[in-house]
Amino acid sequence: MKKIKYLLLPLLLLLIINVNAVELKERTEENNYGVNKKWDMNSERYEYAKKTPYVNADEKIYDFSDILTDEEEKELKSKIDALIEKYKMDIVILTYDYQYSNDSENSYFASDFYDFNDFGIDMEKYSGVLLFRNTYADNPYFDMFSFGEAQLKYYDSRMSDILDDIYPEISSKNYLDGFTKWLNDVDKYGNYEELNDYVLDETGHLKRIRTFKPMIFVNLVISSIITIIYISINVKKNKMVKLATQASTYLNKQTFNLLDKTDKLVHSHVSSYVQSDSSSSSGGGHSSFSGHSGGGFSSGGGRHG
Amino acid sequence: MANNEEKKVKNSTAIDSRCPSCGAKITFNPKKKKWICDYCNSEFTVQELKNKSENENLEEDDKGLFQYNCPDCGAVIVADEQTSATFCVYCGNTAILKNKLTGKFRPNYIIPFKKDKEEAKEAFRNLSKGRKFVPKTFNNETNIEKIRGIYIPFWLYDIVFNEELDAKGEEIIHWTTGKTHYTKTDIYEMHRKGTMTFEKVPVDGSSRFENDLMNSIEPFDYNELEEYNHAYLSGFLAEKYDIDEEKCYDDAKTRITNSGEKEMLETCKHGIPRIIKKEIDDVISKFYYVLLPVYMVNVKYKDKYYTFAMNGQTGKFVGNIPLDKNKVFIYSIISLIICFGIIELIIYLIYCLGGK
Repeated sequence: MKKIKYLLLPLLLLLIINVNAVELKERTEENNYGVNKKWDMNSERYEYAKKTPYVNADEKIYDFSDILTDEEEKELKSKIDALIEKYKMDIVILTYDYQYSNDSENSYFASDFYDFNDFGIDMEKYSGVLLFRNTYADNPYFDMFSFGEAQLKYYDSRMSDILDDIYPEISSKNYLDGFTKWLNDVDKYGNYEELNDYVLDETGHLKRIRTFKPMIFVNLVISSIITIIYISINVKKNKMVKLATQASTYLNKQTFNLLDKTDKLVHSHVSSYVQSDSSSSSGGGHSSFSGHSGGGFSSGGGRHG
Repeated sequence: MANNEEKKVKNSTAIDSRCPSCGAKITFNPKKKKWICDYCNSEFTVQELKNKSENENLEEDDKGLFQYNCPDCGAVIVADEQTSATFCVYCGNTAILKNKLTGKFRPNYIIPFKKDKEEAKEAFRNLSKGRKFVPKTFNNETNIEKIRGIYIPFWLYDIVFNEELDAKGEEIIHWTTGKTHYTKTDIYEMHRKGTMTFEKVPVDGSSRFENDLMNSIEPFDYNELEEYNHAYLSGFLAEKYDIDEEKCYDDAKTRITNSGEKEMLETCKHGIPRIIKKEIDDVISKFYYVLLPVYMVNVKYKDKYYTFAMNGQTGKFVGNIPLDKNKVFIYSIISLIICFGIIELIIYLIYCLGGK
């Protein structure tokens, strides 16, 4: 009897835990496997959708790793709701214990989670940001992602700054403070200017707009320099008089007699240094990644710890 | 002749170039290298004229001005101390103040004019070609007519230049083996001792002409130096020196020192040589007093005089041409607009072809 009690106890505990766990919906053929967005789905993409947890998009905090208490979730949720109302974009916090061997797996997991669920306020352009915390014990990881029009405000370099800002709290597992700080940063950058010269294409990828810019100031500077050179050359043509400082014309070269010519090496030394490998740098600009859905997203680059 | 009484009469002599056949005015033709009489069409060589001489009474006033009587028309001509050949303003005849070209003022050599006045006028007109900021009034006929051929006094020096110098030079070699970059620095001390001769370095001996202007018409071809004869002066103005050979030598010395040192340093092949010690010795082995042919004209533009000179042997015309500031302004604006338009067009074409 005692043994049965010991077996039942963990089951009870599991039940208790499940009360706090994320409520999952079921992907079926009838509900198109939960894919309500405009992605051009094929069998391969459906397979990815099926593997992605199907959640209620209204919850906003999906703590699969169970690192937040109910109170903490409530506190964060109220802040998220306020920001969603303020900026009209979705804000999602996702935690998961996901074993990975490559950082890109985290990106795919997070982007699939956003793309194959109904995120995006009123499903309009699917605009939103997501903070993903992978609690995988061997190599914990976190990254921020932006989707839809939110990519114009939360682009790669800004998100990288946000990740640097929250790194101390997240890496030390002070999650409430870390997520709160993240929401504050989301709020801060929400007031910033959007990227110039970029638009989103149909699949949500950032695309640079080519516009003709006259570059008046630069042109004026270059034109002025050319004009000054041109005028100077022509002004100089009028000045033909110059005091002679040389008399080479009158040197009788045959009379040049070198009576003594001594060259002495007085010092010689060799210095050396090892050249370091030059790191490659990107050509600048901003671009979106593609998730399994085909939709675009931007990433902050991720951090380990 | 109001103050005629105050002038002291000097027994100076002036000669004019007159035709030995008819006594009319004769002029030197640079192309034929002969003296031509326009009246009787006679032509004379130097040798033929050598015996010709004519005396002239000359007077000097207290201010150093000389006056003499034109042998052709009898008019009084005034000339200053430096003038040794001039014209009668009434009849245009050449008058050579012979006494000013004797003794220490007698030149050793002369290079006769090779270019005539028409060629000088043409060369002056050509100065405007290819120059955008020349004032419109610059080469009008009034200015062109002012061109005068003048024999200018020059000192020519033969100088032996000796120099002994110590210089330092650095040779730096770079190379890379694998990922290691090496730099080898060799420092050399170079000692040089040498001698060279500069021949006939010219320095203008008249304070009336700017040195830079006279420098700018160099060089003259010394192969055409002729033994001096008064007859070459006919048809031209002439000056005598007022700066002696000692004072003029400084200019020559500066030039030969720069060039001599340059020659010496060119033999120092280790890096860029930097002189740390030097000893220079220069000796004039010979000097000559010569008259060199120059056409000159003064142009007045906006209350300022601009002097131009042409080498009467080679035809090289020099001078600082005044700038027409209105033209400079207009050209600047047009150039700015054209450059701006072209650059903007290039940017637009790059944009159209798909550049960023």
